Amino acid sequence: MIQYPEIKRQKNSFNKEVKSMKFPKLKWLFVVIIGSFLLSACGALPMSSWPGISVSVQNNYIYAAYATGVFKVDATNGNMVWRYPEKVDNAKQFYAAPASDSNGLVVVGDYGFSLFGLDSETRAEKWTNTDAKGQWVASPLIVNNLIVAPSADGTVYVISPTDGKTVWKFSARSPIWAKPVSDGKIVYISSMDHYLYALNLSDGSLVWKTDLGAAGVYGLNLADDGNIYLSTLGNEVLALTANRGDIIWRFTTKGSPWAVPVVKDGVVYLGDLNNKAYAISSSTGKSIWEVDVPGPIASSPALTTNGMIYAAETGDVFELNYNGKKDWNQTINGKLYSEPVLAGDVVVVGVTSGDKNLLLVGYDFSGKQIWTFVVPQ
Amino acid sequence: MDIWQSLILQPFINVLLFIYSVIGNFGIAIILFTILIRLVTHPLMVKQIKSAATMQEMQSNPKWKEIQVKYKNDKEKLAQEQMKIQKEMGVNPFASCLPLVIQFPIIIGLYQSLQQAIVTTPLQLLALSRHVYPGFLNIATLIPINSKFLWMDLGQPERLFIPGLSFGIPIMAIVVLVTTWLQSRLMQPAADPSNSQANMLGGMMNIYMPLLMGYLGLTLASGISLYFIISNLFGVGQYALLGRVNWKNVNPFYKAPKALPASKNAPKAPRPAIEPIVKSTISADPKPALAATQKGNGSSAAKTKKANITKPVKSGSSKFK
Repeated sequence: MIQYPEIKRQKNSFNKEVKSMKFPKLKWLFVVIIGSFLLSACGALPMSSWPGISVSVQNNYIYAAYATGVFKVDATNGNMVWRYPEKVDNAKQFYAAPASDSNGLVVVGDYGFSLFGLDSETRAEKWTNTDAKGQWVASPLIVNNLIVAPSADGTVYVISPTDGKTVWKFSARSPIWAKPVSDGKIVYISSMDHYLYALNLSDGSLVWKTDLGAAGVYGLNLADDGNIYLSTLGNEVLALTANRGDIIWRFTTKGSPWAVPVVKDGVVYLGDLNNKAYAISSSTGKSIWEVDVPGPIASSPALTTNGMIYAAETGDVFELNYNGKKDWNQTINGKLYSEPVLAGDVVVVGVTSGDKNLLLVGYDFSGKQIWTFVVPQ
Repeated sequence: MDIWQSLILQPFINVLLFIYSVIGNFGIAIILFTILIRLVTHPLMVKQIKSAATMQEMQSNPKWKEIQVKYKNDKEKLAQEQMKIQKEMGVNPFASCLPLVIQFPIIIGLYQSLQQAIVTTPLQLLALSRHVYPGFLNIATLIPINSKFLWMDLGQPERLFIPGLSFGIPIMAIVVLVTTWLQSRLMQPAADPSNSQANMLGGMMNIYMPLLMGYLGLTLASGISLYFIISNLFGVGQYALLGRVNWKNVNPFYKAPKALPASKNAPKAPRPAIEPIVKSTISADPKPALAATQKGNGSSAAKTKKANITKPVKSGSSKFK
């Protein structure tokens, strides 16, 4: 039998040893626990999306919104003019393409529910509108001296560009992620609630609304023929009359069409996530041609005189002529979801998760890379 | 698509969205999905608790403690002796780890599936649309997911705005913090005065873990906070059903013993949350007792050696009388 005083002495000695080594052990244990927890949590945590890109009214500057910055970039050489905010503020996350007008205003919304009116020359904040209760996913539209800004809170805010005050607002039943279009009198808005709304631009009164059958996530196109073309999450492309909202035709795609259909000379063009590109008759809704492309397409093509420049998720930038034949193909090390935009003779592609912070790449119409823009650290 | 997505994430997302498509309320769908997954992993948790209790009891055995002191300068010999005792007592040190290892990816999968189902950006929706099984669910009818639940938007961090107050109160973050603290306190065994290291570790866990979870509740989408709360409450419920909850730990008037008693008349420490499964002895030769334990209480061999077994020692009481 072990006697108690002996055990006590041994135990005291043992405790001393434990005391001498427990702090490093505990520290490491906590580092491992907290570290592993945070690692597990960061798997899909960050709220992020792809860059929102637009061109200035004069076609000479690119505005790109991505993560913590809005960048004004010279479209001819890819040089940065300014970034907003000047110092990174993690509370401000920008993904909606900025809108700009000829009066030197740049409008951009963040994921912290604020809409900012910036001076296009100095990036100074002219005003901030904080009426929204949801993030700004859709790009705003500036028309007839009004800003039409749909929010993910399901409300369209029409705002004065001079002071940033809300003039009127209209609430749909679900978030709005699609950029609106307008003919100057009526503004057309598609919502995730499956409806396409036509509102009077002057007062926000409802003109008509049409059930699309699925969420209209990606925006719409008010074409010169007076019809509206859009795609929905129900794997459909729809044509509607702009004056009454009647559905003219529906075209079913093989994969999900994550882009606004573009229209040229009576033909509707778009790609889908199933590596397909389509040409559809705008009058009948029948397929003209359908071709395989290098990767999933999540954006509209940029139309040039030669053909359509597409950006695929796989990093491929390629041109299809209007008969569906591929003219050229370039590859970028990154994912491409943003819509390529034309700025004069340059087509600019936005890069998601780009190699070494690559954000923009400029090509000429023959597919030759002219410049790149890397987010400065 | 990798194995993790195919085997864990994608099925989880589809089950969650299926529940939502039937119920029509995403908050209720999160609650039911969390409970469903916790029920599926319940047998594993029971096994883990039982194995952990066995391990704890083994470590409370005087012989185990004796070899810690005896071979404190000879790690190799100590390891050999420890293995010998484990063998004698029929304890597998990895028995409590295996259920945990199996549960861990399931819990992570549950968490990630919730994160991916609560879409707030186009990129997230694009990813979600690729996870949905085309023949099982129709994404066109599922979207938009109604993320409103009570006063919350489950896709956004929660704040309750009360008229008259210029700021929102983070109710969910507070409830996450309180339930995490409650869970860790209730599941923690009674303080063992002889193991100051474990006590300190437990104490730190009781402070830092609720704070960390509260911070996550403050910053993450409230749908994730809802999951944390349901998961915490369900965990407490599971422990309570198994009789493992230590209510004394949340009694503010209860004082745990501070040090080893100096005499035989010293008061005993409280009963641990985890019942001792293996009875131990103070006998200089513990083998008979260990053998009896190994063979089970109902066996004749156990009965014949019962005389050698002294009164069971509960973990947390003095082992050095």
